[in-house]
Amino acid sequence: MATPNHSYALAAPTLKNLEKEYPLNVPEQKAIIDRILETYCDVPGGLMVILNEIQSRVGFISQPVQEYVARVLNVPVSAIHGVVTFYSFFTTEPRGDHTLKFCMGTACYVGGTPQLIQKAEQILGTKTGRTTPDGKITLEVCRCVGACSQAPVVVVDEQLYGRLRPSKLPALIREITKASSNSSGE
Amino acid sequence: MPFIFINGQPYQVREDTNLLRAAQEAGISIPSLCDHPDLTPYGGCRLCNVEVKGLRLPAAACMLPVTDGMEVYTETEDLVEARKSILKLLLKNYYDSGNGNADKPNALLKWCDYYGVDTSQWTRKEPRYAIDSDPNPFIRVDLNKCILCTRCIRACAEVQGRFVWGLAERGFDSQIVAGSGVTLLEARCESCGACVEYCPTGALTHKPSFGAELPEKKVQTTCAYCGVGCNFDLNVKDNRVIKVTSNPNAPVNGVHLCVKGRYGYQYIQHPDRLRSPQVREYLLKGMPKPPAGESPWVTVSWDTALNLAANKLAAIKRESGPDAIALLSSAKCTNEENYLMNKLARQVIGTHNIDHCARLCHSSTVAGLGMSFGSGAMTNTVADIVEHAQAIFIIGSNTTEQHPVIGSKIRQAVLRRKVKLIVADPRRVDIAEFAQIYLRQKPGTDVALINGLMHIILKNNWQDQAFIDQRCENFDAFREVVEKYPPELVSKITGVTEKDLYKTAETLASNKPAAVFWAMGITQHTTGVLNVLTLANLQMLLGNMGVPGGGVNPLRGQNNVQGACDMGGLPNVFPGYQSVTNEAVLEKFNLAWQTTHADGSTPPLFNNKAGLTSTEMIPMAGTGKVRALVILGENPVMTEPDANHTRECLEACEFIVLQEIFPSETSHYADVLLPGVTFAEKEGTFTNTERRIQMVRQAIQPEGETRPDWEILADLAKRILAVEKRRPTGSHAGWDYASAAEVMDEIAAVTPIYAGVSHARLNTGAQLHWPVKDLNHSGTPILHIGEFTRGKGKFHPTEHLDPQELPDAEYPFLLTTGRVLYHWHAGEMTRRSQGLLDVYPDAYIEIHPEDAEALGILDHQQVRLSSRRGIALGKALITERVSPGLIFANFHFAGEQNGNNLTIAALDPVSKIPEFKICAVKLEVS
Amino acid sequence: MPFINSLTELVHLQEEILQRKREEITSQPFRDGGPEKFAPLALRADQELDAPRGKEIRVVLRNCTLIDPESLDDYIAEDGYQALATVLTKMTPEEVIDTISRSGLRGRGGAGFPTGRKWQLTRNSAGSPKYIICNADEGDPGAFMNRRVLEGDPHSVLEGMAIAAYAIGASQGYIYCRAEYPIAVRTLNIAIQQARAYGLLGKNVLASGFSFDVELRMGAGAFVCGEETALIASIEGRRGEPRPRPPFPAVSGLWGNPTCINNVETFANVPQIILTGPDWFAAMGTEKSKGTKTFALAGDVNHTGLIEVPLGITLREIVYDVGEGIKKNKALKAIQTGGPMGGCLPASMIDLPVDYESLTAAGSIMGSGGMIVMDEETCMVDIARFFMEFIQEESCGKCTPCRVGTHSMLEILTRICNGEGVDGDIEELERLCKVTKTHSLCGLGQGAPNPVESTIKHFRHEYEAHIYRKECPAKVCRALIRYEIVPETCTGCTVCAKNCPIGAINGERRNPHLIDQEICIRCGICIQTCNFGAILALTGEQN
Ligand SMILES: Nc1nc2c(c(=O)[nH]1)N[C@H]1C(S)=C(S)[C@@H](COP(=O)(O)OP(=O)(O)OC[C@H]3O[C@@H](n4cnc5c(=O)[nH]c(N)nc54)[C@H](O)[C@@H]3O)O[C@H]1N2
Ligand SMILES: Nc1nc2c(c(=O)[nH]1)N[C@H]1C(S)=C(S)[C@@H](COP(=O)(O)OP(=O)(O)OC[C@H]3O[C@@H](n4cnc5c(=O)[nH]c(N)nc54)[C@H](O)[C@@H]3O)O[C@H]1N2
Ligand SMILES: Cc1cc2nc3c(=O)[nH]c(=O)nc-3n(C[C@H](O)[C@H](O)[C@H](O)COP(=O)(O)O)c2cc1C
Ligand code: SF4
Ligand code: SF4
Ligand code: SF4
Ligand code: SF4
Ligand code: SF4
Ligand code: FES
Ligand code: FES
Ligand SMILES: [Mo]
Repeated sequence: MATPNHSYALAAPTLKNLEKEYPLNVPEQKAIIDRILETYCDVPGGLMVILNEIQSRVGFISQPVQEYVARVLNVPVSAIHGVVTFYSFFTTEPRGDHTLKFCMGTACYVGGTPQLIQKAEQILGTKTGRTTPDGKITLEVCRCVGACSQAPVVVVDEQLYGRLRPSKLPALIREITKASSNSSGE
Repeated sequence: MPFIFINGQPYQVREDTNLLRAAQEAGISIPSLCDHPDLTPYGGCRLCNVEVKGLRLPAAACMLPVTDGMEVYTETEDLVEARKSILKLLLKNYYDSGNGNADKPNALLKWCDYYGVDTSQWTRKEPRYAIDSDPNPFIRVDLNKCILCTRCIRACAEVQGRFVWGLAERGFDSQIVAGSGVTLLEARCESCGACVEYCPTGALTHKPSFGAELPEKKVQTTCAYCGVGCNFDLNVKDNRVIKVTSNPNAPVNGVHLCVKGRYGYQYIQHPDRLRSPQVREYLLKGMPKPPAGESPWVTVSWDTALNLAANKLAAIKRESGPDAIALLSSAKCTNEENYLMNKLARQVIGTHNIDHCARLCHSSTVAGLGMSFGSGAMTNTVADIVEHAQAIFIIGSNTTEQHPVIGSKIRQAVLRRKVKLIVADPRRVDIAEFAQIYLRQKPGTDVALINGLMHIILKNNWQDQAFIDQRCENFDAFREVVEKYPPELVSKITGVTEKDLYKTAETLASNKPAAVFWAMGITQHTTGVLNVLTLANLQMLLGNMGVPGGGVNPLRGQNNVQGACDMGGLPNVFPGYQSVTNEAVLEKFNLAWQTTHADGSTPPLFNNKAGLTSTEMIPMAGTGKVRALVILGENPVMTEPDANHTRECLEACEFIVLQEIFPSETSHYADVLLPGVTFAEKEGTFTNTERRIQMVRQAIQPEGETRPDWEILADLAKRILAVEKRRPTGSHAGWDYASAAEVMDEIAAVTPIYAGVSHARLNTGAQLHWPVKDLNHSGTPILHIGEFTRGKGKFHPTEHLDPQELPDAEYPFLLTTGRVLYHWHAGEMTRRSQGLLDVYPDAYIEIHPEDAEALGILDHQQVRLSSRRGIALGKALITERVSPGLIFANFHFAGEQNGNNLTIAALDPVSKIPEFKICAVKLEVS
Repeated sequence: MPFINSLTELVHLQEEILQRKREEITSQPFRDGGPEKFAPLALRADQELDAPRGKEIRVVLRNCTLIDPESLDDYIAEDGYQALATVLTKMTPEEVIDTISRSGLRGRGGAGFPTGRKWQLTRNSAGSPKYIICNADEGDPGAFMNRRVLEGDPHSVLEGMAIAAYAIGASQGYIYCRAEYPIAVRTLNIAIQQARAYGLLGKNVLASGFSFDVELRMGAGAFVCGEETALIASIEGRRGEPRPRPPFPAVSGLWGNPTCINNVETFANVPQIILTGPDWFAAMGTEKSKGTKTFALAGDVNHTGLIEVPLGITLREIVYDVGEGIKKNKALKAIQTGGPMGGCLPASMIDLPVDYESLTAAGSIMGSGGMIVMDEETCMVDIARFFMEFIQEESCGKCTPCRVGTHSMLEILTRICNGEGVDGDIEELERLCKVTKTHSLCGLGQGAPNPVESTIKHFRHEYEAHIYRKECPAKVCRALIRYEIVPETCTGCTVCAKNCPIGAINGERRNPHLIDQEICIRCGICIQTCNFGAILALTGEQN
């Protein structure tokens, strides 16, 4: 038999309820999201703009955030969830402090990206699409960043590294982790 | 009209259609999976691809507009090959766990069969998703059968207007999900089952009937819950209702239904059903009446029970006169039964003391609209409004929960036609989400609110002066009063901002025609009639009467409350609103129903004074003025205001005959219990909120010893006449009906607005909205075209009055009562239908978060409400649907949980409707 | 800031700017080198875009690296916005369309639809407002022509859009740019603001009564959004799912209104055509394919990078003259054009002229201009698998043939590469190709089989080698190869051992090393790191 559902839809989740049920965790996050919503809520078709902004400023678009945005924009959350999961730039979970994006476009594939990935996974002890246990580095794959003449290409956060060889990876990763522990003030 | 060639043959086809539809109409079948005629085309499955001359690649017929001269080939060798491949691709992800829904055709398997694709060879061998993955008690989800046609998504959005389903991820990982990937109910699913109905493969199925056998027969009938009047098929096997299925020919709803209509059928054969007549032991033993409920029930024969009742009623009439007896008719019963109840009261007993729940419901509408226009019913049909209205104004109606199928049609009008929707309700009801303007007025301030809008309209000269001049009267007196409601004042009274008032007035004035809908938020007040008069004024002022897409549209609640009123289940009118104070009418019925006494005399059957309303007869039963009550299909202990007082009155009443299907709260006070039947076990008609008369058809044999209500009533009447030694001699005085159809023929004979109604006509599919003047008349979907029933429409000046009981220091909260989607009134039916109770298991009390916080109340915590009249217990539902200081409770749960333990029996002076919507209460954690 | 009100004022301004520049040049001999100033990323102008070689002609790229893309003055100095001013003051919309039609310009986004005709269709459609969209989604892996134009000469695109808007009767334009191009986005935003400030965008442009503004929208990582109906859905804030056409966007596009969508490069051509005349443009190229085309030349050629060549040029001229031949003098095996929906042309087709018709006839497509040259060490089955993986990941999933068909093809190709191919796989692939190609909803699915079909057609023997002999002739597919160290050549430098991700290589320093075949995962890192060519890849019989 089905489990009775007490949070029955009749009490359409109201904003306050929602925050209780889906905490937008950090208040600063809510402030950022509110500002984004306010700026773009009247832009025609602005959902993509809003999600792009949230992704880039908050770093991910969690389920509570989706519910929240739906509520504020009066848009079905199913539509928002559909958009968030359709585009590969949107993530529903936080990324690491740094992302290592390996280009798997044609030029880079032919130019040796698979070997780079293998090496990086070995060094970091994680898989592509995942984040290292210490939350520092996320490994990702992307499809051509338009720098094909320098294949194979890796994008570290916003920085582009071309003509990379597996042998150069350890140094690169050391540099990133160093920068990260510096910036986090340790 | 375009001429096209399909497979070499020329066809003339409709314009503005796609090839798939055109071909279908030409009798050529093109296979399709993602397409459905009710839904916007999608073009995803590619099964309908056809070859079109001039196009490089095959095109999806379901999305290809027909153009003149188009040459298409629908079944070439290449296409057949491709379709086989496509079917195989779909099967690659199709896993069948074995036990399907037997009679729901699976379109995927059908086409596989058609094209000779061996399903056993190509289907997946192990599931990709969890089977039965959602806990909704009605909707069974098995994505292993999903072919991603998105029909469910479109059905939920385009039919129900709820947008629960969506598509997540992309490519091979695409998957349908509810909301943001949560359960259906969490995603605000209303369990209407539309998505299931449109799913072509059985990925979504009806859970309650999952695995049910094939039905022996399907019987089209009319829903016995609400006044929308949906039709569906009862599926019967071995004399059991095994499920409800949609019937696409249903005139009001098509394949759409709401959760109660589709899934709330299990009460029909519930073990609790009363299965044989019962009387209190004291009656059989000739003992004095002990306190209510103390004398045990004894199961007896029909003869014993009916004779006992007949003798007792005849005796009371003999001793205290006919007016010592009062009758409550039933809006759950058929027109035929209500007619007989009215005839039993007036002809057999000789009293006008007959009423029914319409008193508690739309009595103020009937009175008010009668005064304004001369007819108290909804003026336009829903289809008409949804098609033609430019604006819709909903005030005091929780439409999507209480008239769900109309609610979803209004949502569609907003979504598809961009109709301007204005919702005014102290609670932010769901339909408010679809509104351009939502007004949250304070409860009990509707006269001021509407007067305020009309003030602005008049100030700006936005009224339809031509309409007013030609068709209305008393405008100046009205105008003078409206003068007194400037926005500043109205804003103060109602709590609605001046800006919103202005915006609303402007929207109404600039979007015509506009239709007004209302329900209990307007009627259940001591100012109920004033509220209705004010809305009538508004629609006259804007010239929205007698036109398509406009009108005054009170949404009638019970399945047959319109019919029960039509049939004379009211103390002041005979069937068809023929007044009991009109001599000619009295004369007519005295003749038609004439009985001859043993001495050969034919004294008048009744007097010319209106009888008692339900809200009067119950208190009078308490005082002994009314000695006997005959109740058909009502549960006054639960549904009348101030339940504790109702209990006292019924306790004090000498003799109560109750004709019910379940032992109810009221049966505790009854002396004779006559087991009637449900709508599934009898024949007759219901009249829906649109005045549309529809057939109720018997699907199963009555349970146990039960008998159709109309047969019981006729039997009781005959026995009383026999005790009194009267012979029916008038033209329509007899009680020997062979069928309900014969009763309808008698109704037609004495009721001008039903003159053209017969079961024969209805059975051939006639859609009749009364007045139906004769057998050739096709009915009247829109009232007051050209002229009002009373001639001129009359403006009535109305003034704001405070409700009877407002919050104070001791009882600081304002309580308003009403209903929820998943339950029906006193809950006898819905609490006995599997699933409804699972979703909504408790008496929830809506409390604003601020109030909850101030009182330290947590969500779902047990709380206690008390008023000057009683207490009610329930669970807190903390929500901003209510405003601070406002509490909403329902009356779906019995005993201590009944909201009516709190309500006040303050009555509107004209209609005698109680003020269910306002009283003062105290809230505590219990 | 100058607010320009007429053609004359524009010409005056140009004079002023040129004068100023002349003065600057005398005082400061070197203008600092273009993109680095604003592009801190490791993109260097010279790496991507060199001086023209071989038959190269610069029309679209003519300003790139020459002007400062953040300077509208620079653009104006190069006759910028004079085409727009001319159009607004001297031409009717019909004349504009006629000029574009006569030039023979065809859409550079892939399908090569005549641009003039598209404008005419949009102009003729009932319904308003109308919209102009610039498709800057450039999703083809291995292609970056559009990015370079946006980053190097954004105003040429804006000017082209404005002219198109005038021609079709639109007053609002959108640029849909992929999110992977942050610099392009920034450059464009700056350009839009500058153009507005100069009165070249916005209300009443050049006081002509014509109004036109542009808004930039970003994608979010979905290749399919390059497809025009998906792109529209994305701008509308929805999932990027294509829908069947008709109706074409020209009739019912953005928010249901007539919409003209063109590629970045298409727009960038427009001002030149207006200024220099349609005949000049039509004189370049072939009978049916006029003008020049930019290509992103990548892969195993010596000179990779952005090139612009007249249409009709042969592959040979591109690979050997412009691209300066194959790296390390290896043999050319195939040329892949048209991105993931394109095909692989074998070395034997090296003399094929590069124009829309010829490429299509050869089983490939022009696409947006990706061109990847592959040498003998490329496994064509693996390449087919690679493209199918890309397509499968990027399929929107709406239609059955593409959603499941590409997945099924990928399954088979993966199996073949893993050495698990079975008899009948090639035929099954061919069947799947056929249904996916003919019955998919949009160009993505319709084009998806191209890499598979073209490789089966031209390199069927490689498939057969994988399936029947379990060997990978190009020595790429891991399951079919192994690596061995030739002891004679190995110097014992230990580099391979250090770099092997799983430590499969053992050996003493200065002694020949040995690969433990049990552990080795055939990642090929060792072979890449060995500086002495001591490691060999073996397959099949040799195995
Ligand atoms: N599921 C379900 N459906 C039903 C029924 C049921 O029991 N269950 N009953 C049927 C019957 S008989 C009826 S009569 C209808 C009733 O249908 P409705 O009248 O729609 O339902 P209610 O819940 O009684 O209340 C209507 C609305 O009135 C609002 N209201 C309260 N006070 C005021 C006020 O002062 N002014 C205004 N303007 N609004 C106010 C309430 O917030 C509420 O939203 O439903 C019918 N349909
Ligand atoms: N506080 C508060 N109270 C209210 C209201 C409110 O808004 N607030 N609303 C009022 C309104 S609008 C209404 S309509 C009333 C409804 O008041 P009622 O009509 O008293 O309520 P129901 O629960 O529908 O009762 C109908 C009974 O008929 C029985 N029944 C069903 N079908 C049949 C049949 O075919 N034959 C026989 N013999 N019996 C049958 C059912 O078992 C059920 O017990 O409630 C009113 N009470
Ligand atoms: C899957 C797919 C991806 C596409 N990607 C692009 C793209 O990145 N850029 C582009 O201009 N056109 C792309 N197109 C083509 C567009 O749909 C459209 O034809 C083009 O933008 C029209 O512009 P044009 O006429 O100037 O070529 C793509 C088409 C498909 C089917
Ligand atoms: S049952 Fe109704 S509300 Fe629920 S998902 Fe299905 S269609 Fe939507
Ligand atoms: S659940 Fe049914 S209706 Fe919904 S997409 Fe799947 S197959 Fe279609
Ligand atoms: S809307 Fe009313 S009539 Fe229709 S199915 Fe629901 S309860 Fe029955
Ligand atoms: S072909 Fe592929 S990308 Fe295009 S609509 Fe179909 S599934 Fe989507
Ligand atoms: S191929 Fe990779 S795993 Fe194998 S030996 Fe070389 S580096 Fe190590
Ligand atoms: S393929 Fe890697 S940058 Fe283009
Ligand atoms: S029915 Fe036409 S594509 Fe599915
Ligand atoms: Mo009611």
